[in-house]
Amino acid sequence: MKRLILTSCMAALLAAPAMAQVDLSRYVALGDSLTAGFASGSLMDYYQLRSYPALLAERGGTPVFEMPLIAPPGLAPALELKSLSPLVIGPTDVLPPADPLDYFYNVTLEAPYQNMAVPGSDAYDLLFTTGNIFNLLTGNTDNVMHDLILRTPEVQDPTTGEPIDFTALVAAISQQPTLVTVWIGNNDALGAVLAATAIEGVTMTPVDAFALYYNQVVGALAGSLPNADIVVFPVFGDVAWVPFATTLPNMVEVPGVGVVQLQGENGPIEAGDYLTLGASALIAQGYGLPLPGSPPLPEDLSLATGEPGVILRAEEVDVINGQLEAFNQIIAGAAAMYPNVHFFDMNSPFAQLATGTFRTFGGIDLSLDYLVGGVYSYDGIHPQNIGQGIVAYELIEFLNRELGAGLPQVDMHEILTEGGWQAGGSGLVCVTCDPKQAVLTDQAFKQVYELFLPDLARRWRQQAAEVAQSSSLD
Amino acid sequence: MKRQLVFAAAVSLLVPSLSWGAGFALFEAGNKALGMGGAFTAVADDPSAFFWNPAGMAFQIDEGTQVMAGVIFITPYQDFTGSAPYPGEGYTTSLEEQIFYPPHFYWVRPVSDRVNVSLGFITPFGLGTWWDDDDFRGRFISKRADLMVFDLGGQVAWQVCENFAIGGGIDYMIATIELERNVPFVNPYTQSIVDVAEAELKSDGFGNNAWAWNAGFMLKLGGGFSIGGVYRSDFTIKGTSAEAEFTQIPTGYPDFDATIAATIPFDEKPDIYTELDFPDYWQVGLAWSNEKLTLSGQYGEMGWSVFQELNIEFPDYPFLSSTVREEYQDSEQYRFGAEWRASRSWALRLGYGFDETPQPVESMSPLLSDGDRDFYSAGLGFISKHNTWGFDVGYEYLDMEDRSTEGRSFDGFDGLFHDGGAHLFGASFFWKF
Repeated sequence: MKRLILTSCMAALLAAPAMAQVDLSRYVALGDSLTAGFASGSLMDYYQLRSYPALLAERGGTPVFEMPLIAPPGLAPALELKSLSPLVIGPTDVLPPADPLDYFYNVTLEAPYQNMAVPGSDAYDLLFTTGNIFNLLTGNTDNVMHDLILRTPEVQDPTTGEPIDFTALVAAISQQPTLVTVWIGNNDALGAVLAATAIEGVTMTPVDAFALYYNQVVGALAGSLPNADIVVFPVFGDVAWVPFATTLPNMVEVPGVGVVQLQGENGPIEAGDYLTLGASALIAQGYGLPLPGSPPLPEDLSLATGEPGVILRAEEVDVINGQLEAFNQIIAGAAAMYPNVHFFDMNSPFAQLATGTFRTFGGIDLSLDYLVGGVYSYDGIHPQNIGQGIVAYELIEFLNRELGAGLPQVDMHEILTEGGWQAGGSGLVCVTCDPKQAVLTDQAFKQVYELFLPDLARRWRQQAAEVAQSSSLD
Repeated sequence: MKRQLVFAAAVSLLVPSLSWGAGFALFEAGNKALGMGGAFTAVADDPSAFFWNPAGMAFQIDEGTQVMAGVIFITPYQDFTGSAPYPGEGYTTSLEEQIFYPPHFYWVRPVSDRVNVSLGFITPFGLGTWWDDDDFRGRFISKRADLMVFDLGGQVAWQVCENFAIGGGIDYMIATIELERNVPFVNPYTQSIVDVAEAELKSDGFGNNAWAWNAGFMLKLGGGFSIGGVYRSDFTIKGTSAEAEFTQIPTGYPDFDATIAATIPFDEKPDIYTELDFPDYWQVGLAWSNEKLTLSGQYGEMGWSVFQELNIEFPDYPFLSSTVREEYQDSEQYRFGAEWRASRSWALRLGYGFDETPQPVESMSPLLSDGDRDFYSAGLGFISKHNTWGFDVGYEYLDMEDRSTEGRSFDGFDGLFHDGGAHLFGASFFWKF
């Protein structure tokens, strides 16, 4: 399999097709949760249908753009705002349809999906991980997202007749798309944010391994699809853009005591440290207070139990940001190798959103703030439909500007004002509601965490073995 | 005199405003000039010389004491068709129909055989837009805007010699400002944008004032030719007498509404501070007259590049402060006019003019959407047998170019402002003593 991919890379180096106007007649999206339309801890049709690939396909007139649509409450149950006083976010109480075919209602589609993005996947998964829908239908949820989206583990190579692994990459190439977008690599580093632990090889893919996987992905696409336009995204450029990490303050007011500095296992949490939303439920239970009997907040991921930490020390943030920067150099370098691969800098708009310099839409200003910024969903990691709309808007701007696509823009008025699928509100009156006081329930945190970090040790062993094997092949 | 000033000030409080000069300048200072397309700087032979060229007053000493009062009604219209990403393809709306009526009043009196003094009240700047639709998609920028600048001025004109005169004066500028818009917020329950408040910003006028000055010359060349020029200085209105009022819009989520109520000062009227820069301008004109006919043309420029931004500061609530980018550029204008004196009492007038817009496409918005204008005018003048009273009526059709924001709107409100224009009609009455 790897030889096949590397051969494709060589073929791509020899091919230099003339650039034509962007053709969206066959569009395939590759990536992770950000591309899948995962939001508020859930893969659900409301968000999937409003994801940037869906918006781009709609604007570009792509005749067929299918997704693994899931009915409410989504997989896992979507988070919603339970109340503003106290400020609590948790999974919805909406129950899924009794019939799995009503729940995963596009699962019987005979052809592959066009949105092949798999939540939780990283660059390694894009190359090597397959899925089997029968696992899901028989109750095996070890690899639920790949099973749901890829559905069949193998296909026959049309030229050799040999069975080949039906990975997301193979699934994309097999459709002979005219446009491919690739936004992969976020889970190669941002898992460290979710676990509040920056360990290369455990919560972050080693840079060398990432380079190997990523270059193979881009080489295979460019070589196999010489007439297609391939647009690659950088990974998120800064931990500071993720409200999951930046929302909670390091101080908290304790009735009868006053404002106190929260404590982790390694000491007080300083101003430059980040406290993840995973800490909110623990603080509500009395963790982290400098009071007798109050246990400290867990600092790091427990490799023994898999329990995440909730504190990102400033030096850990620097390490993660350094990893993100290294990944982005690899991505930009890979794009520069092929004439039909284009680097779309989605990080500039995010940087503008973070600094309050992003454009306005009719006097509506957005930000990366949790709950009230408009961009992020309730999990604090994934964009909701407004954030997805911004990605689509920026991508269309890029395609029009750089590739002369001439695509009509998205309708941001509709996106901004449409509203969510949620109902709700506790009806309680709150006069001190502040996102900094948000409590992501323990259940909500765990469901997001478990989805994205299913088995860290397994992943690490698997990746290490693949790197060793690739090195020996080279 | 004192009573007249008080009257003028009282009238000023009742007058709605408009946006139908270049940028938001108004050249509606008299109906004789209106009929001649505003080509009046080298003519300036009635009391509206106060605006068009103060030196012209010096050649009116033989007319004795003069009083002129009048009004010009303006009915602007404009449509808007949106584009993506905001407010969206196919979205259309129109300016609410309004009638504006900026008044003018002049009092002129000779104090010697070569010197005339005058007092005047005009509205040299005005802006008025109203998008009266609850679902107007630009409501977070502006629903309604009214800006008026009133000029209470005094001038002196001196006929230096038989063929040459100069004039000048000072202007006390008073501005009133009213802005209405809605306040958007992300509803944390629906994660979408909702209206949480209506904001109304008001200033009371006399607290927002500035001084300016003006000067002009007129030279009679002989053979019926005359040359005139005028300069009016720039000025800055510093608004220290303004306040805001917020009215809450219920969202249907009581706890969210309570949070908003704790954030926005609904129960008080916080002070606001604004600073507005107004342009200088100059015009030079050439006119020719004989017994029956006057032909006139002029060229001018306005220094609109001083208007770079509109700041609205809330000293006590900085998070409510905003800065609107305007980035205007200097603009030019041409005006041509003719008067045919059909009889001793009656005169007919025609005019044409072109005003270049100072507004870049980027700053076109619901607050003000400007474009180059062509205007065509006609007028009629009457003077009594004994030259003691008379009137002028004028009409102007103003056609504004269709103009797209070209996807570059500073406010993120893109589309085509089109089918804009205005009908202007008015009358001025004058008496001579």
